[in-house]
Amino acid sequence: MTPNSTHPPPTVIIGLGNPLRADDGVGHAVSRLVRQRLSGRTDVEVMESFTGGLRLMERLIDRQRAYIVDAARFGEQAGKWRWLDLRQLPTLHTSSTHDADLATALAVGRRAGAFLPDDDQIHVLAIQIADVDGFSEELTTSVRSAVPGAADALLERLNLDLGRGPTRPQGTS
Amino acid sequence: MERISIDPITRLEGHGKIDIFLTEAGDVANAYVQVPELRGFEQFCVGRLAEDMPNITDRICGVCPEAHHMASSKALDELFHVEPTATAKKLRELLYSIFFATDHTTHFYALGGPDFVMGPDAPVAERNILGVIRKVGMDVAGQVLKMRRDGHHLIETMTGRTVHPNWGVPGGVSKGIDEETRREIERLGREAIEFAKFSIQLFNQIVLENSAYVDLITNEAFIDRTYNMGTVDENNHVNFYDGMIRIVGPDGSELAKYHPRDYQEHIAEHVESWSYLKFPYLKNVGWHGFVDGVDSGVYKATPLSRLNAADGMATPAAQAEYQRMYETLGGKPVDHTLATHWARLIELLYATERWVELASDPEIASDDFRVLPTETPTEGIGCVEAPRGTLTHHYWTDERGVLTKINLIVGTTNNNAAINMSVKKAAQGLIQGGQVVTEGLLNTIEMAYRAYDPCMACATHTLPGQMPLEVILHQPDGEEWMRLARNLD
Repeated sequence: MTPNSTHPPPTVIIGLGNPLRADDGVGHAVSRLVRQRLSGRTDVEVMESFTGGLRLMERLIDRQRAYIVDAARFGEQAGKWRWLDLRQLPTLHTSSTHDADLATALAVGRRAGAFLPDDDQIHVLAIQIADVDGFSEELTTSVRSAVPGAADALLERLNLDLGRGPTRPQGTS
Repeated sequence: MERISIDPITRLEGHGKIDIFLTEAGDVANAYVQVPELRGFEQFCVGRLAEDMPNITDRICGVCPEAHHMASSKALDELFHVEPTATAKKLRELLYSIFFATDHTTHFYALGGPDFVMGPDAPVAERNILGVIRKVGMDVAGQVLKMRRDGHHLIETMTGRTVHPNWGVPGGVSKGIDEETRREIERLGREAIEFAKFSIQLFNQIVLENSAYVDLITNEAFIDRTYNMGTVDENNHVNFYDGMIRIVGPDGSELAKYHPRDYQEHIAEHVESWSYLKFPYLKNVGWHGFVDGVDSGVYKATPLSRLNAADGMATPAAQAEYQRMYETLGGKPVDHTLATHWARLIELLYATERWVELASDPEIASDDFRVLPTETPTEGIGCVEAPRGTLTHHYWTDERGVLTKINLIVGTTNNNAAINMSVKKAAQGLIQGGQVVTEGLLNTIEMAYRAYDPCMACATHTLPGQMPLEVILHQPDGEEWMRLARNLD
């Protein structure tokens, strides 16, 4: 199936999480930085989202490629990040326990005839967090300091996938 | 005493855990629903401007932000002593009806429905929305997605955002709709009514025409005769957005009917040492433990409770289904926990009908959608029916409108005692004499829990967790006897 004729930009970057929940806001922090660095690009849309499951899948409809940045716990030092694919999910949010996990939601969407990225075109940048147990708009120090590097990693992967040159880091000329 | 642990509850927002304690004879002695609490939200809000609350509280969780947004907006009306215009109230209720229809759709097809459509003994891998689609036909996937996409599209059109709308303000809303938008909302609403009718038809065919499922619904193990809470309009019909709180007893008689601002005169909170979550109860009846009946202050605030607390539905098709449910299940009130799914579908139909009613009202496209507040803020209480139960926001501020204190009673918290009772009763009916616990049996117990559609993200301000299932059987001396697990790496 092909994308809808009024389809949005083919590539989407989604920062996932709750920015009121301390390190859970790291996905949003990375996506906001990436948005600044991609200013002027019309082939990539950057957005923030709060939930996984069906709602997340619906944000991927009519896209060809997706990058999801999410908080995760995989037993490493806070601020460490790693790339996951759909077989390695869930992170904190890609599996909404209120509806369906992302893999199931994607299957539902495809059965409904929605155009969705192939599984190997959905990349999850999972960032190890330290604290989501309280309410705060601040990331912990180690996670906050990881945001620029995670954004660089995402942009590097994006440009590699799209066959483009490197994107200049923020603040450089 | 032996102990069976189910941790966490699958397919629920947040991380829950059920501990079932067995006697020497292998019967159920007690069952406790345990949830980890993350405190601090109230303190997080103190010192902030009250008018920011609709956009803060709706971030407690991503499941029902519109409910928090609406309760918060109503609290601000009272806090700033301003009455929204008729258009503003209609716009809010319209948005809320669209949200309700979308949320109930998701619950039936993705969360609660698979238990029935696939059956409690179906393999875990099939007991999900994909299993439902395979069983009832591919077309339903498209219809579910269309319903959700239409709902999200209209919420975005009305508010500017699909999630966490920056829309409700003291005295009304920040943005109205034009005639073209009104027509689109009305058109999609009429399609939504047909979808709701289709969903009820599906429930009829798959559940009500299957005697095994009907037996399950009417099984004594899934019956708790508690008080019922719900919001009613001037005709004692169900209303999600506004009205009086009505409490009806297990015998169907009215115990109380009060304005939401008087909730503290009627509701108190019991505390248990083993739970971080409080247990609201009816103050005028009293807390007498985890028991049902007219002498126990335990109440429920669920879709089924709302129907029990009302005299009917305010729209014709929903009213017809309301009557059919009570005729089928033996009259009011219905205390069958699993009938909550049926009630939810009747509410889905009501929400879509109300959606069209409001969208058909020419006044709703008026630009008179806000009254600017001019008085000094003091204290305000806002209340709506969230999909999971009655939701109350209570704010106190200083004269500058800076919050000094807040209190929230969310839908799931209302049902905390009843959830524990339902789980215990289901366990007692299904675990007897040391009968070996199978996955299907455990899921049946979970079904009692899931019927409440509990949202632990709201109730405890926690986050969605992983979804493994681990069962630990303990010998009477506490030693681990057997460990069963699924979805664990």
